[in-house]
Amino acid sequence: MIVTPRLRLRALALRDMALFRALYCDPGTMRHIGKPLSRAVAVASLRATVAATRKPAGLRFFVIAECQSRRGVGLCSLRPAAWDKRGIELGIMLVHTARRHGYAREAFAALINYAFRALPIDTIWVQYRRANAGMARLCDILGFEGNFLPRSGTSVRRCVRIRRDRNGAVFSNQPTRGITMSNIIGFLEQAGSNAAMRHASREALLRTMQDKEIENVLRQPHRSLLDDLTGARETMYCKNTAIAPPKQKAPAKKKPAKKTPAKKPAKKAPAKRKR
Amino acid sequence: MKSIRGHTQAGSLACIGIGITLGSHLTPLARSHIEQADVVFLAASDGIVEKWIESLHTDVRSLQPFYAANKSRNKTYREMVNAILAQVRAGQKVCAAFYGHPGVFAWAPHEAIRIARKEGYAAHMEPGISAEDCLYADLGIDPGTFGCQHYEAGQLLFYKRRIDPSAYLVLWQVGALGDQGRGAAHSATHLAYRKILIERLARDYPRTHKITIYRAATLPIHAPRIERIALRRLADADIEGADTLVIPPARKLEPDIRALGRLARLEQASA
Repeated sequence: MIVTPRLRLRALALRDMALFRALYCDPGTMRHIGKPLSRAVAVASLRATVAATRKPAGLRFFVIAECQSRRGVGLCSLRPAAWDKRGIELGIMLVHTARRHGYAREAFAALINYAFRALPIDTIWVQYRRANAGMARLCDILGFEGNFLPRSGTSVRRCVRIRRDRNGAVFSNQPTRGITMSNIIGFLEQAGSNAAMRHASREALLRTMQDKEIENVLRQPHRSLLDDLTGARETMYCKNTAIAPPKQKAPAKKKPAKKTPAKKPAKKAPAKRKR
Repeated sequence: MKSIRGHTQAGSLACIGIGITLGSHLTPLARSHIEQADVVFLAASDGIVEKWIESLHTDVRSLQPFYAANKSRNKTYREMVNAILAQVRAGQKVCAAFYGHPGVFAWAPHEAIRIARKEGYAAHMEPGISAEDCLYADLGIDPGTFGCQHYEAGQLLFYKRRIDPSAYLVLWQVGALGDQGRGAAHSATHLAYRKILIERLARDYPRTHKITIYRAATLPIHAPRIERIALRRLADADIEGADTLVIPPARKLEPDIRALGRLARLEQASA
């Protein structure tokens, strides 16, 4: 068992079916992973996963539970990296209600420490879909680096790694922040959705930007740097309706007048004889 | 076989609004539509907003590539509708996300829903926070106080409209004046159209009347554009595609004496 200030990471068991289903059958949770499982498939998948974890030096699957409530709030895994003999791949899923509490960062940091301490590895890998801004942000904060080609899946995935310190020291959990798309978008989303930030003074907002080291990017008068970093499209068309002037009717052409047969001169009535 | 709601086909379409400001206006229901869709089509007003929505779903397809300079807008919108409906017809659960409100100054969502329903698919629209909503909040205008008229700027020039100068007048798409539905107009054309617009407005407002150029904030770190100028300065003003003109009332509300008299008699009769 791995224990952090707020979480306990324990081995996955068959009794965790409810949590397993809550994660793998939920479209929202699965949106960056794959198609949600049906309830029946989830049962079979849990059995297969638990069986796989019993093999030595194989997959390790943990339930992330809150220390206080002992409630399972997510799953995380360590699996041997197929492309790296001295590497392991890390994964994590949290139920919707447990997100935005810093649990992912706490669990990930503990797992990285555990892996470097207990396993014969030099590198920890994470693969995620590029659209998964939350995971990108987490990896940036924890110091994962690189932008390697995906080891599996499609090009929409990004592969990052963290390596054991050459001096033998274990992972320090000190954030190494770089200016990336994920922390800019993350900051903007937070600034837009958090009432305190949305209406904060300009100075307070600037301080937050400075903390996140994105001030220089967001304060650029021209957005080229911001667009470059986020990979955003520069030219955006906004108009979604086109109102054209009415078609003016062309003046009607004069039709040639039909030739009407000349009227026969009316026969003059014979003049009445005056009496 | 018909479903319980009477839809005969498997695919579905939800046209949703993502609002104007990144992170602030996306409703829980709209977010849920994005998350639960098989495919998301997106017409955003800002590249960063596009990136943000891409972070919410793995298959977000931008509608921006359908636009092109000097391409007929009507053709662009028809292509958008076809792309959206192709996925609906393929049995997918489609979410088409448009900035602001999907039903305001947006042809493609209405058309896509109309065709989808006609073909037996479930299709509906979810409202979003539009630029109009932001305008009321940022400028402190209550449309109920004096009344409020909304016109597309070009339409005001093309047709004979009666402006009531005792109510607010809001003119949309002023920055696109003169593009004739082709997406791009020469700056000289813009200027010429704007001068005609000033002349049109001068029929109902004094040329010294103060008007407001307004643009809602797309990013939460930005402030809205609120710039007040005299009507006669409109031709020289720096106006972009997303800018809107707000013209406050120039006359006091005029009581309708005859109607008031009738109402008073009605009150007396019922007393």
